[in-house]
Amino acid sequence: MKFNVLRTGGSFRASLASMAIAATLLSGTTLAQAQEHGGILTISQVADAQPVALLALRAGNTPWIRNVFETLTRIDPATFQPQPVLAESWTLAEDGLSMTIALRSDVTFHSGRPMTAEDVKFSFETAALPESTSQVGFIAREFESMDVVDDHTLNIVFKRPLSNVFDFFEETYIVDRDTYDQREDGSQVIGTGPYTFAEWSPGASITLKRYEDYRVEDTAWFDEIEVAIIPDPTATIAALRSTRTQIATGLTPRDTLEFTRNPQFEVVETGGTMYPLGVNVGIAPLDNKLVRQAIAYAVDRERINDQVFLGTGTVTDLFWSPSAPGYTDELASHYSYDPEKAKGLIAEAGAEGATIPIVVPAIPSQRSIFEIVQNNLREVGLIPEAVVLDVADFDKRQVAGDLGAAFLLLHGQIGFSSPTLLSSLPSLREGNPSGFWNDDYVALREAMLAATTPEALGEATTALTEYMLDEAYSTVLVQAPGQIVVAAGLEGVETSVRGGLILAGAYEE
Amino acid sequence: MISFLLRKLPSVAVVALISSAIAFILPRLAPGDPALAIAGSDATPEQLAAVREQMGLSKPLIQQYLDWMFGMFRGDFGQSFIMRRPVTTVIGSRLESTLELAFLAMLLMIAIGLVLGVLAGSPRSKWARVVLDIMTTLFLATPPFLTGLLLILFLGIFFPILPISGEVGFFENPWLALQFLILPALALALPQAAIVARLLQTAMNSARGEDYVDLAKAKGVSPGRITWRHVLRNSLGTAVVALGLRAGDLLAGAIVIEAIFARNGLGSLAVYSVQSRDYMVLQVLILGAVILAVFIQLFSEIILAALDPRIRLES
Repeated sequence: MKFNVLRTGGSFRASLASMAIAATLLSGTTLAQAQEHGGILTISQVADAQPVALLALRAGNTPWIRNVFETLTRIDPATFQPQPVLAESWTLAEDGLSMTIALRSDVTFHSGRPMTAEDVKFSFETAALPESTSQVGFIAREFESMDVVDDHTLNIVFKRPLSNVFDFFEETYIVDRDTYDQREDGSQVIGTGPYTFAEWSPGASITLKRYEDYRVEDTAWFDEIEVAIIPDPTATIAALRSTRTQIATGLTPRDTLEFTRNPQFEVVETGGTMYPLGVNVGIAPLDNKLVRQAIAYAVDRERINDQVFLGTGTVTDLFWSPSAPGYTDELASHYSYDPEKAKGLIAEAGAEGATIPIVVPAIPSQRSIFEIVQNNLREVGLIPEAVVLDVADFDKRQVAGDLGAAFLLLHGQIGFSSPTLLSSLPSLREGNPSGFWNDDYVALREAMLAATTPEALGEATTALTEYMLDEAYSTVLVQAPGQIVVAAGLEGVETSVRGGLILAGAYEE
Repeated sequence: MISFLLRKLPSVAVVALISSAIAFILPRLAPGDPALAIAGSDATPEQLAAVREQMGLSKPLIQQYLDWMFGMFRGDFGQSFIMRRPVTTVIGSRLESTLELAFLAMLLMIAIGLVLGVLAGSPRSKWARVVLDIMTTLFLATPPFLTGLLLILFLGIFFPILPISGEVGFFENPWLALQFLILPALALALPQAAIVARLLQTAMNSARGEDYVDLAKAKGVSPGRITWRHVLRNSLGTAVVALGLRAGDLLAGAIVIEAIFARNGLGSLAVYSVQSRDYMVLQVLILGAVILAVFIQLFSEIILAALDPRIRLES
C-alpha cells in the first residue's frame, strides 16, 4: 500500500479523514513495494529544534521528532481511536482507575539498549514535572502510581478515570533514561524511531540518519533526512522552488497559494491552530455579559476565514474538534455574524461608544484578523484600539494571564480531545487571561473530566459549551489547518493529528 | 604605528567596558523572557517558574553581569540559554558564513565602487555620464533585500544559473561555496558600492579644480596620468573613510540577506537571539560588533595615513 499526499482543495475535515485512511493503512505494517534504500530527503522548518523540550509540543520539533522518537500509541486522525506503536496492547480496569500496558519486546533505543517498562515509567514521570513544560503533563499528575510489573508490562493507577489518557500517550515520547540529561545540546538525542538524531547545528540544520537496527525492516527509505532551518517564508519558498528542499513546513495559506495549482507540488493540510477572541470579564464594559455576547455576534468569522486563511479554515465558535462528542453545527455557529443583534445588545447594555483595547501579537495573521474585528466592532458602535505587542512580550503576558481588556490569541493545539483542551489551553484553564473562573464553570468542567463514555462526554461537553457560549468570555473565530508543501514524486508522507511529519514510509518515486 | 595603537588601547578598553554593560542591560530592557522560549507560550506560570530556576535567571542581575564579566576573562563567554552550548561555539559555527559573505561583498563593493566612481569622476561623453548616473542611482535606491529577491527570481528561478538557498563552507568546497556566495554578496554590495562611487566621484570632481591639476595640465601631463596619479590618489581618502563606514552597514545588511538566501550566519543568529531573548548570545554579539567597529575605525585611520603623507598617526 502506498499513500500519496493529499491534493489541496478538500476541506480540513476531508483532509483529516484521508490522512486517517493512510494512517490506518500504514499503522504497524510495512510498505509492500520493493523500495530501495538511499538518498537524502531535505525538508525545511521555520523554527529551530529544541532538544531541551522533547516532551513538549514545539514548532521546532514537530517536523522531525516523530521520526526519531515514538510513543506508546498513535491516534487515528479520523476516528481519534488510539493505535498501538510501542504498546502492544492495553487493558483498562472496569472501574477505569487503572490500566495495564503490554509493551513490544523488540524495541531498542538508538544506543542499542532494549526499551523496557522502566523507560516508559521514566518518560511519564519526567513529563509530569513542570520543567518538562509538557502541555499534557497535568494528565500524568493524575497518576496515583506506576508499577513496573516486568520488563514489558507497566501498570498505571489513576487518581480518577482519565478519558484523555491517550492524549498523554500520543504526546509523550519514550526517551532513553540513560541519556536524557545529555539531550539539551543535541549531543545525545536518543529515541527508538526509524531515524537517529545524528547532528544538530543550532539555527541551521538537523541531520537524521537511518537507524539500521530498527525493528521494521522495510521502512526508513532515505539514508538521511536533512532538516534545514529557514525562518523566512520567502527563503522557504525559494528553497522549495530551487529543489533544495522537497518538503516545506510552517507556511501560511498565502505562502502556499502559488503551490496549490502547481502540478510539481502538493499541499497537505494537517494539525492546525485555533484563533480565539477573548475578553476580560473583570474589566468594564466587558464585565457585562451582553457586551461580550454583542462582540461575539459582531465578528464576521466567514470574512476572516476567506480573507486571512483563504477559505482553508473551519468557521466555528468552539475550541473542540468537529469530531468531538457533543460538537454540533448549531453550537459551532451560535454566534453567526449578526451586527443588528450586536447593536441591540450594546444598546441594551448602554455601552455605545465604549473603547475596547485589543491586545494583538505582532504576527501577520493576527494583525489581519484584527483589521476585520476592528471594522466589525466599529460597525456596531464600539471603539476598538489595537495594542500590538512583540511576540515575546505577548507570550509572557499570556502565561501570566494578564492581557488586558480584550485579546486575540492563537493556540496550536488542534487534535487534542476536549477534556485535555480544558486544561491545556491558556484560554480555558485556571488563570486564563479572561479572569473567568467560578463555581458553575468548575462544576461543568468537572462533569466533563469525569465522563468516561462517549455519550456522557457528549452530554457534558454540550452542557459546558452552552454555558461558555452564553458567558462569551472567549470564543473561537476560526480553526485553521497547518499547511505542508510536498514536491511531486515524494510518496508515503504521513502526518500525525497535531501536524507532526512521519517519514518512515516516505520514498522518492 | 605601534605607539599609535598603544595610545589608543586605554580608550578601547573603556569603550569595551561601557559596551559590555550596555550589551548586558539592553536586551534585558526589552519585554519578554528567555525562559519562555523553552517553556513555550502555552506554559503555565508554574512551568515558567521551574524553567527560570533551571536556567539561573532567578539570580540578581548584578551577579549575572559579574559572572559573565569574570567568565570572559577566563575565556568563558557563557552558555546559550536556548541552544545550551557555549556562546563561543555557537558564534564560531556561524562566523565563517558571515565572514565569507562580508569578505566577498567587501571585495565587490570596493571593485564596483572604485570602477563606477573613477568612471563617473573622469571626463566622459554626455551619454556615458547619463548611463553611469542611472546605474549608481539605481544601485543606491534599491535596498539589498529587493536586489536579492530580483537576483533570486532571475538567476535562480527563471534562469537557474546559480544556487539561491543555503550555503557550502569555503574550506569544504571553494568553487561551490563561491557559487552560493555570489548572489547574496552582490545583493549586499551593490547599494554600498554606489555610495562609495558617488563619494569618489564627488571627491574626484572637486580634486580636478585644484591648482596642482591645472599645473599638471600646463606641464602637458596626459589626462590618464592626471586622473590616476593626481586626482584619484588625492580622492581615495574619502573612499577609504566611506569603505570603513560601509563595512558596518555590510554586517547590518547581512541580517536581511542571510534570511532571504537561507544562510546561517551571524545575522540570522542575531535575529533568532533577539526573538528568543537569548541574552547570553545577544550580549556577546553586541559587544563583538562594537569592538569590531572600533578596530575598523583604527584600521581606516592607519590606511588614511598611508595614503596621505600630510596625516601622521602620531599627531
